[in-house]
Amino acid sequence: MDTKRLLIVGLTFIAGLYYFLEFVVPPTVPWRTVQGTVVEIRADSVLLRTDGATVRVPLQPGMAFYRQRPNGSYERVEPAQLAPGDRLRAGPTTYLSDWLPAVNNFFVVLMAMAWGMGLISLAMVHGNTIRRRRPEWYNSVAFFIAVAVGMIAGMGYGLPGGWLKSVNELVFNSMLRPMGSTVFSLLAFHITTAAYRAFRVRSAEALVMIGAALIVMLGQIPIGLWLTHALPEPLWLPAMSQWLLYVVNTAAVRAMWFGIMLGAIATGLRYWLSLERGAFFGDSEGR
Amino acid sequence: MEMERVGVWLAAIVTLGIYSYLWRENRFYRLLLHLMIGLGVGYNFVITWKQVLAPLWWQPMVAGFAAIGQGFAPGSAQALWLLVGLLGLLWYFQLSRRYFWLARIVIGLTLGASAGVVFKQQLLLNMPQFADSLRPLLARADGSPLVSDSPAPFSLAISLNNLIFVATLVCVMVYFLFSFEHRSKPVRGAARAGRWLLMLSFGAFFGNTVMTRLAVFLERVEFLLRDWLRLI
Amino acid sequence: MQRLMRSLAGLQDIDRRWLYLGLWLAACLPLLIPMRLPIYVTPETRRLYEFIERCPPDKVVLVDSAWDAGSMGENEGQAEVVFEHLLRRRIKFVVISVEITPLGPQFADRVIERLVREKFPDRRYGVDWVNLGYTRGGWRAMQQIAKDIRLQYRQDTRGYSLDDARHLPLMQRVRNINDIYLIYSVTYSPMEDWISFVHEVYGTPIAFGCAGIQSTTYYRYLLSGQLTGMLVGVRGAAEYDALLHPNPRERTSRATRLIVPQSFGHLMVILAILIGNLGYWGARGRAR
Repeated sequence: MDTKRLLIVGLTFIAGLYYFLEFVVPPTVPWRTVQGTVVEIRADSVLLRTDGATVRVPLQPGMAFYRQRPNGSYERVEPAQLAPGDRLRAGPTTYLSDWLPAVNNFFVVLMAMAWGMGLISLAMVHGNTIRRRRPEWYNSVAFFIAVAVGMIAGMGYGLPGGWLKSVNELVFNSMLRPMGSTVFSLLAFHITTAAYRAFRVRSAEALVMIGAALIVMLGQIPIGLWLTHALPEPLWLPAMSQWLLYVVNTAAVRAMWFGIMLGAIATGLRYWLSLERGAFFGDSEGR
Repeated sequence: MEMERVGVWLAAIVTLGIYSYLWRENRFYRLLLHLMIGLGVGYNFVITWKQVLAPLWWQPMVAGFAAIGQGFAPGSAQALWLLVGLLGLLWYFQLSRRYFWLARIVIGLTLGASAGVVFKQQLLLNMPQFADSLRPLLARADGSPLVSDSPAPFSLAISLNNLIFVATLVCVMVYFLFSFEHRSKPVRGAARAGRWLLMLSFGAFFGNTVMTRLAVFLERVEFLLRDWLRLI
Repeated sequence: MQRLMRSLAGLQDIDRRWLYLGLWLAACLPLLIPMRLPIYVTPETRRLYEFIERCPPDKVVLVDSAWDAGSMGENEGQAEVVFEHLLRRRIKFVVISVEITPLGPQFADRVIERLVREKFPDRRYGVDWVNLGYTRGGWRAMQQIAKDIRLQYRQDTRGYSLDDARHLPLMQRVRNINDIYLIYSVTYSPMEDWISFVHEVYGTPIAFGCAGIQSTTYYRYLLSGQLTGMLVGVRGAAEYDALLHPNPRERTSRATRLIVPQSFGHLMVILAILIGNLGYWGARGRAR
């Protein structure tokens, strides 16, 4: 393994290790952590009552205080925020949880920095099309104009007024909103033709599936209720559809998702330990 | 014509232009797609800068350098964000064949960080799911098991539902776990039942898919009839 | 018999454009000829409504409004009814939009501003609600917001600093997860990370407003109590509107307007399935 690959594998491992340890290591050193009810807060210490005895916890750097919230979970607090009667867990910090905001902040910014990639790669594709005068190259010119207009529209968002805001409103209300919605609505036509072509009763199993689909399709709309409202309530289509969704469907989905959970953990491990192969991960020589 | 009507007309033209695809794929449709992608990319670029990179990276960094300018006043450490900016530049080496490995440094860092958290993510999400799946097969009306101090009466409906729930869960898991040929009769039977129960679930999936796909279309039809043609 | 089978078999190759026309008609007619149908309120909708009703005055609702044009048909209605409930009850709310789409905040603005203009003209931005806008980072952003909202957001969409007490008095009492009563995430497919990283760590209730297609996998969280409520597609939003306005004449939301055409659309798809199967049987009968 050459140094480049060693560097990448090592950094990948360390980045994962932090988040892994943050989960498994408790926020305070377990054998030096005391738990109890706050009795008194002094300038240099906090007095806790635990099982009848009173323990003095010194206020010194490196001590972490976790107060129980009304719903039972714990939150980190400063000693100044404490009041007598609080349920408290105090001990020397293991630092991992303390660093979490900073580490998160670092990754949020680092990942956001890839934000120009999409624009650059699209610009390269369309730039090529224009340069080579490929068929319908004018669409690529339109693309660049649209990017510029989109940027102006983005700048206009949140302003109290002015021409930038007018551009924003026109682009948003009359272009981005209707276009996105219309493109996705084409799927309604595709699913209708798919229902016509592919949803055939070819076997008993297909019949079961179509039966469930019909119950859910009718149960999710008011017509289903209107059709069956004369029957006793458990036979109402919405009630049957709810039963299918809450009982059979949920149990089946849960069984599937337990499998997906194992898959996600296995994939996570492969990434973390750099066992995954593919374009981004380097070939066996680590180039 | 007032400005608002111009906007509605423009929206109607792009809507109908995209629907022209339903008749036949055509030039105008392709032009509109290019415009849509371009506008989205441009808007996205500016918003991400304004909302994320400017407040979380650029402004703290500039403040850090300003503090350094005042003789290392408090807050100078923020200038270290410059290093994160340099690290962030590595993303763009994906565009170079020769220096692609530099991009792998940031890809590795972010992938590793996301992979390391998967235990927390999955276990916290799914432990209550396991707990909820262990249901009493003889249950009281409040859902508690028959062998408990609860004053609620025995409920046949809840017990039956719990039985069906647990049976479905077990059968579907057996179906997935033993996807190869198996000899034991009960296992084979459970796997078969699991397959049938999965079909019920897939049917529900399809029903809900229809609901989603139609909703998006109906919103468009309403726009055309109400805002554009003013028929309703 | 043979003739019947032959004509049935002909149903197998109808041009797709006839089906498209049928779908257009199924959508247009109920919009042009308005009618009302009874609404069945499901438990997942009722739970969300009742939970919001019980919001104490010192807390806010955090709305993760991360939807855009692609799921507008369902999500806009879901956002609208909950915003209307919050504005009506004067429950303060903070709008954010995590990761999924940078367009999300402007979609939310449009809905809220219309509600304020038409129904609640005395509600003020900065006092009754705040829109903090888009952010990135997924579950990291969620952890940051829970710990201290200022770690992730320094300013709102209008460019005011979160510490600007004159323009954003509401934000002066929103610091971290302790000030948040409920997180309501509306988008095509809300992120389960809200459950893993916020609900399971801090116990804060979470509710989803999701596309019907995605809801199928979220019922399991309702059963385990990890979700407090859920609005499913147009249906869920229409049910919520029915709870908000027991008198059907007062229901004006998009979901209520769309639920009847939605019904006819479903019938059209069912009809397509029937025609397809009739054709299939006809072809099979003829082959025999």
